[in-house]
Amino acid sequence: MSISIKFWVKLSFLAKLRLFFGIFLLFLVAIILYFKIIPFGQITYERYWPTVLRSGKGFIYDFKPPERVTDDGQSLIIKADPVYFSLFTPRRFDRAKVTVKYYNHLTTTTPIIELGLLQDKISGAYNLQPLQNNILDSLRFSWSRLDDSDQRLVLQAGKYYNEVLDFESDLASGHLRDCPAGPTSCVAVYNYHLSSDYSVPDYVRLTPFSLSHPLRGSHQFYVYLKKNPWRLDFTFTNENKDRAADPIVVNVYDNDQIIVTQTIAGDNLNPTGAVSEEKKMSLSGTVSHDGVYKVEVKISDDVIISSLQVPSDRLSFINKIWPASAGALTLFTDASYIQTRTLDPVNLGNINFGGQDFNLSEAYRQFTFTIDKPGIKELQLSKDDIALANNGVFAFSRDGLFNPTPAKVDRFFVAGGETKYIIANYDRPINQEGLKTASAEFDMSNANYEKGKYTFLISIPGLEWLSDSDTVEDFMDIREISVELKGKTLWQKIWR
Amino acid sequence: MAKNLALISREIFYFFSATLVVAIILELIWPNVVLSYFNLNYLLLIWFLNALVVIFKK
Repeated sequence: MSISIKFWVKLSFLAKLRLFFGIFLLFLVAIILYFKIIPFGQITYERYWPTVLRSGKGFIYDFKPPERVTDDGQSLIIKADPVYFSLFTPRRFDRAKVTVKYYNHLTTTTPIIELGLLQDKISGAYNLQPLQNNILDSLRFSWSRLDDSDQRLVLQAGKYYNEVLDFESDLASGHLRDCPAGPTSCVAVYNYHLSSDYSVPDYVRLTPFSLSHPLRGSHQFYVYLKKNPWRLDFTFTNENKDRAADPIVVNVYDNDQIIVTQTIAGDNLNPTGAVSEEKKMSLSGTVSHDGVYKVEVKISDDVIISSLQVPSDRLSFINKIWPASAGALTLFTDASYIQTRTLDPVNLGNINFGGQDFNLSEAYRQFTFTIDKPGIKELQLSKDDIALANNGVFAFSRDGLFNPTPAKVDRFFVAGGETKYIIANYDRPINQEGLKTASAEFDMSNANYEKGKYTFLISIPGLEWLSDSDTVEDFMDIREISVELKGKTLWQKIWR
Repeated sequence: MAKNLALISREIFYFFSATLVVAIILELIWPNVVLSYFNLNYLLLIWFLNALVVIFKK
């Protein structure tokens, strides 16, 4: 009889019971620690609808706001844009592949579904990746396909090229066929970065730009700088309406590379209603070439850019501008639509966009005003403190407006215009008897990770649902979300 | 036999108590590490029913 069996036989019944339960408890703790550490660096979290039995809280949860999403246990209904959800992970990961299975009950007015991962909490910037783009899915068959690989889809309106290498060569030299004004005028992109050498050969700076109206919250702008030393002077006003810290971060980019960055830490722990405080920041440097530089100002909505001095009169705000002076204002934009929203009923009223009057009639609701007019449009606001957004740029003067980026294949894209080519990084969803499966991949190394959670967004631009409506006609019916995560293994964490 | 059953139910009660304490401590150290997988209310309910059995067996 071996020693272990002898030991077991000698034990009393109570001791045997306690030994058994003790080992079982240790086993449970070991399992919990395994799923906390995830030593092999890979795990998949899933959530299904209909939900039969949920033993725990799960990892994919907190779908909000409740007025835009319904989770009745049978399906997850997205009825308005955007919807946010949280992914709890017990540790950080480097990459994620999110797969969504859904039934599409959307119309042609909402052709795009995107998934976003929160990158920066202060500016609210999301890394958006496509799930579905019906415009591209349709053009894929009606336009000529030049390239349809995993990395890239290239479409052309006519049979301009037979070989993708010829297209790439002409694109690099900036002389595409049937495109006399350059690639930015006739190429549209989707989820693809097209580097452009936008230049104004005879550019002579007239007067430096000085901000005439304060701006609220995060902004990004393009500025055209000559090969010279430059300097940006900012004054920020922290209104101190909240208790949260309000750091200020300004980055200057040259071709997506940060060339100058500066931060002011804002330990705003003053009580609500405290006196506002002013902060100044200056950035300077020397640029190596004439061209477009991007400036990113990352601040919360509690902070206002009260003054800005830039040594250029070519300055355009990218996608969003939020004037905050409560006065009349004229702006210019190159897009054919604007999305407007105000948080204060005092600012409700008419907006003249491209010569047409639109009524901003409700606070907190986002309105989309569209006009069918090409070129630069004037935008007249009788009152400001209204957040304005679109897929183009905004400027305070017609001459100052410029957009160095090509058009995007968004929901307002119309085939048959100036666009002759489309370049996209996009895979269409797999359709199995109406159930669509689409995936998006994310780099999570720079994503916002707070209290063990990543924040995701499901965006269906243009999808609206009015709370006084009895029925939901257009919606996305989600049946499964799975997140495949990859990160460092335990051994990599210990030894590297 | 009845004595053994009483002993087993008491030991199960101790086991559930220890599991609850360990799970709560782990939750306090790493929030959601247990709750994401398992709702502790179920365990609390079983623990409570087991406690009633132990009391009535006495």
